[in-house]
Amino acid sequence: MPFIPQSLNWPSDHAILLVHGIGNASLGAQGAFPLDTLRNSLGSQSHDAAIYTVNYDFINDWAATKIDFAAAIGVMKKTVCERLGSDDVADALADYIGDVLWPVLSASIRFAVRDALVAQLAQIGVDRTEAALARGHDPLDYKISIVAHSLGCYHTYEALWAIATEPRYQLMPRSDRFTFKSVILMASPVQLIRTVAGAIKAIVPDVATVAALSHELAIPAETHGSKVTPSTSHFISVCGTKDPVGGHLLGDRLPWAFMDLPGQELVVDTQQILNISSRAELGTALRAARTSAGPGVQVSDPHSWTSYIAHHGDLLRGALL
Amino acid sequence: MTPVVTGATRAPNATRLTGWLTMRVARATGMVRIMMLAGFAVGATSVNAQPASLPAAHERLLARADSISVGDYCRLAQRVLSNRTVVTALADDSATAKLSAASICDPLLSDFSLRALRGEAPAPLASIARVRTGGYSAVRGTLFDAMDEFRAAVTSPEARAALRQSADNATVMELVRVTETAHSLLVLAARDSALSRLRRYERKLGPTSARLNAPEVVLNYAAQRWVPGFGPRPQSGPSPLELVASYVPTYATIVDDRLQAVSASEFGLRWYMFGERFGAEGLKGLLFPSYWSAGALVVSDRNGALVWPWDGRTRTGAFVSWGAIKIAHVGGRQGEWIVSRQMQIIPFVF
Repeated sequence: MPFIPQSLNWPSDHAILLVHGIGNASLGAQGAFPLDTLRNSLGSQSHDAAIYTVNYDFINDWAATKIDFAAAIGVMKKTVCERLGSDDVADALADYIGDVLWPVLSASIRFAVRDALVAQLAQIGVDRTEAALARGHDPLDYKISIVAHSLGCYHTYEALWAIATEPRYQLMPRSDRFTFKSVILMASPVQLIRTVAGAIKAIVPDVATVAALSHELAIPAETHGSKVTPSTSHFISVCGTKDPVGGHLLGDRLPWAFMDLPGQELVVDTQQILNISSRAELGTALRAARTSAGPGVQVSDPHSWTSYIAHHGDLLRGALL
Repeated sequence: MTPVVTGATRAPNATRLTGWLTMRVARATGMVRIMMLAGFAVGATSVNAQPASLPAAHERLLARADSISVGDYCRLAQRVLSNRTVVTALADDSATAKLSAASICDPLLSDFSLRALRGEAPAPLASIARVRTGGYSAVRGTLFDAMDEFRAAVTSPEARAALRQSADNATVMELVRVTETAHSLLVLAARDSALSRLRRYERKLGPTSARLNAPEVVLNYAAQRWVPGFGPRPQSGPSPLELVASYVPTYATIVDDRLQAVSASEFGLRWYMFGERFGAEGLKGLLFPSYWSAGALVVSDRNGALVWPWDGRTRTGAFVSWGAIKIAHVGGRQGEWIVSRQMQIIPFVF
């Protein structure tokens, strides 16, 4: 069954694209997206938004059955372990973090996910034009935002750089006027991937096509002459103080894993409610979350997408609506 | 814009040749019986892809693109560029906008609808007569480039503000309708290119592709990195080529009217067919599979499953596969035909 991008009628003048990651939405089914939680967080105006979801789990499944990455992933986890300290908990953390690292090892998988995202964004662009013209409005007055989680942040980051720099996608910020109102990355592993994949750069195929590795991290933008047009006016990073994928370990920021783009708006969730105070407790929570993936709220999982969305209703209303 | 579909152009010849070979060989040696025994049913695995919804937006867009001609675009561009407030707001972009408008106002193409210009609708007869002397195919691509540049200039925040301030609403909305329709056709084409590449990735990596063993993973990883023609590219998608280096204990042959297993090592190339009708599953997949392969193989003179191919006196030969069905001929005092089905008994091993 081929991938078909979602096409929606816009109820109003804004749309949101959800890009899933691992852990809290790894089932790949429609129900795995925390749509109800998002609508609750957005409040009464939530039904004005066209909410798209893009699912790339089927591409991950291709890799799992076609290609065995075990050896290379083992090298990457070892790199993570060395930075986290050597104990059992570090192994658990490395397992958890390893889930977001493997796509850099396959150019085919990276390009395939990119194409899925490009196709979906192009469809959103066409839907926007049709919705606006049908109402006698200018499509450029209609707004698109992205909310991504975990590994989805990495794929989003790569896709945004690809469309900002490749004219053939017809989605450049300046040349095609394709910009986003907000791009919200929740628990982004972009810096984590940059560090760990950077340490094994020699075995990463087509490094030049990996935006997270080929140049300094920055908000995706098109450069035209001397003018730089960013993809979005609000690039927002949301992370939690107990979430290692987002670059924190028990309240401490891990500089090698924490995404810190110039110009990004940063929101740090203190995650005190999780009641995690030791490496062992964190390891247990992450192990449990890793083995019980699904859409439900997992209060003990510091990496839960549902929890991030539930805790940041004000931010989401302001940024998306 | 149009991706390279190497498999699509090669597939028909490959289909005829391999199909003919398979049938000739099977008839000549009575191998049909073995094929039936080996069981060639192809597993039907579905992919959990995105649920679909009908692209009504697509239909509306095409209908609108049919109703707007290049001449309409030209007249509108000229009207906008006659507005001094807008030209002032365009600043450095005004030269680009004027050059783009000049390209758009090609009298040879003025009767073309935007959709016809994309080649998705018949060209007007009157235009064809003239265009045949005017280089239609070479010009139409650059015309869309010109439309894109014109749109980029007149949709800058400054130009939009100036236009809304100085022009009547009908002109503003007509400009929006025309420029956005032309641009959407390009976005749609970019979307279709991305989807086409994605289908090819599915063909090569998805459920109807051949599973790789660990050495093949390493070999193909190396080939994709260092051998031209093997690696994927962002704009052209996956390469149709894949290296084969596998131990196959599931060949079968008939000796003295008895079915015997044969183990072999294969070395060769697999070619994925990216044409639309290929990559079928189930029985249809026998006719239109995802790939074919060919190469050399090594077989021991001892028949049997799980026999080391270099055990005893080795024999060499050649194999060819059409999808999962494989047939090979190995030398020796008496040449021997053997058949198998592409499968992996132990994942990533053989």
